[in-house]
Amino acid sequence: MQTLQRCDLTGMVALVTGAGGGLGPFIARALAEAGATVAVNDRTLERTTAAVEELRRAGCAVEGFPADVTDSAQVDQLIQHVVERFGQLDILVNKAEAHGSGRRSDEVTDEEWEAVLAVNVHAPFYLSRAAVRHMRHRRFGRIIHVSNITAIRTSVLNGVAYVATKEALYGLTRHLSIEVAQHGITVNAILPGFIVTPKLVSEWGEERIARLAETIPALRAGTPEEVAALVVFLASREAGYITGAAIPIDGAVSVVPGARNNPEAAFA
Amino acid sequence: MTDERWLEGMVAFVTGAGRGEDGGGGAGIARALARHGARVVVNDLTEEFVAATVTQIQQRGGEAWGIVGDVSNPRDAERMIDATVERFGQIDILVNNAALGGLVPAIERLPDDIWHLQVAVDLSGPFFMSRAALRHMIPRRFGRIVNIGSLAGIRTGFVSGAPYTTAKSGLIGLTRQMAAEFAPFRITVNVLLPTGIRNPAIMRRRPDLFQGNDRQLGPLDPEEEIGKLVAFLARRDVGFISGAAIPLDRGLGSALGNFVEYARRSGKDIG
Repeated sequence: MQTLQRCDLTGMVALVTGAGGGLGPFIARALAEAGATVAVNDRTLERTTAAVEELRRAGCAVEGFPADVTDSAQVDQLIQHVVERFGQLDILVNKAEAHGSGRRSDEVTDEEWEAVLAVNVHAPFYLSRAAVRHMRHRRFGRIIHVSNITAIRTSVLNGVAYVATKEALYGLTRHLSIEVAQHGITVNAILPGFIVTPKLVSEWGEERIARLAETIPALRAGTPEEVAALVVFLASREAGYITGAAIPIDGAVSVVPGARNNPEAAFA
Repeated sequence: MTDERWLEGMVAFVTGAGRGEDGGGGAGIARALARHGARVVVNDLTEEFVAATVTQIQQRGGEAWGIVGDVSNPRDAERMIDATVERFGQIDILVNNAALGGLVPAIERLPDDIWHLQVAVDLSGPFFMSRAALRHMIPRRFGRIVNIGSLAGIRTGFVSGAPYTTAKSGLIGLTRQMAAEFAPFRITVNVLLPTGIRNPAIMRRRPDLFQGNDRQLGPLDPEEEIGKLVAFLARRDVGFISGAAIPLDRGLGSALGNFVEYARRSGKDIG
């Protein structure tokens, strides 16, 4: 039996939404380094172009496809453009997300509720629908929704709209996985915990990050490369029997008991 | 069920509780809360639906009042809660029961409008209603919110489709976050996950779903079973259960899945 050395995505085409920020660039890069052709999407031309340029500087074969994924028609066009350009779409990584304000539930506004719902629930529906329409004809697909560990716990920093919509996204993941499993398409969600990017270090400072790292059984934050590695594995042919899953990648912070109302220890 | 008046002096609001004898979970819950002593505000989409349950409760000696409104409209939600507090001086219990589900196309054929409607009613509705009720519960430092979710929230809908499963899952997250935020105010927020509630209107449309003497698939009694649990969770001295998602499924959710059962018996479009 061959040992799994690395997941080879050569010949596959991936679309990463929200690729301009957060974990997006890391995921796009890891997919490209594993051999995939990567379509990079973000909301604006500027953000998309900036992401493409940075990834190309790192030697990755990527192209930009800006689109607002909260717009159903733009999503259909996005998938169509990717398929027209590359002939196929094998992997959809939906990383686009909206954060909440952290306001208490009684003070969350209609606007915040609808805005977070649009990106975290409606957009994944539009994207999944468009992707499935294409993928089922090829009898192969990988849909990976980047959720968050707060989907199965609570969020002090983001609040009720974020938690409700992230758990809702896991519901969509579960339901879809059943509908499309027989067509060779897997649908999974990954739930990152406390992940530190260089940008977060400059925003929060080393001291705050060190304090939060203590609240995690692994005694450290996760790295974006570790999250990207999980995405690459789930995107690979080897992961074809994993579907309908919500996989935490969190250093066990979701399995250790919480502290009641302790915003000082909140990273989520 | 004995009619101990645990909820004497309390005011309860139940959404989607209309149709009386012909109603489903909501009407049964409203009847149960009234039997346990609460004054019950019955909400549904039409005067006719509302009146059926109000009349039924009053005929049994309970106190009920009806109000028409659409939970997915945030202004309606606020209007209905404010009207309740204006009439009764308080709101103690909110039961978010109103929901839309049923057969929908598989995802590749699912139109935007069905998706948006079900998510709006099944997830946004409970948010708008809870937010409005919390504004009154917080200063009184007491409240009971019971969300009627579904086993679909942790599995998937046996009959219903993607938007229902998505919304009912989100409802669990909503419950958990609110429970954590409002525990210090003696407000509990829980979600029930029933499957197969006896509902005359649905039974007429899909008699095939309710056949068989297999107890694991027997429909739940909306008043004697679901209503009883809601009435218990609403008790003043039951403040220790919050953020809970309780399956009401006769153990069905504990069983390993069966795709044949799901695909063939439900009649749904599985893609």
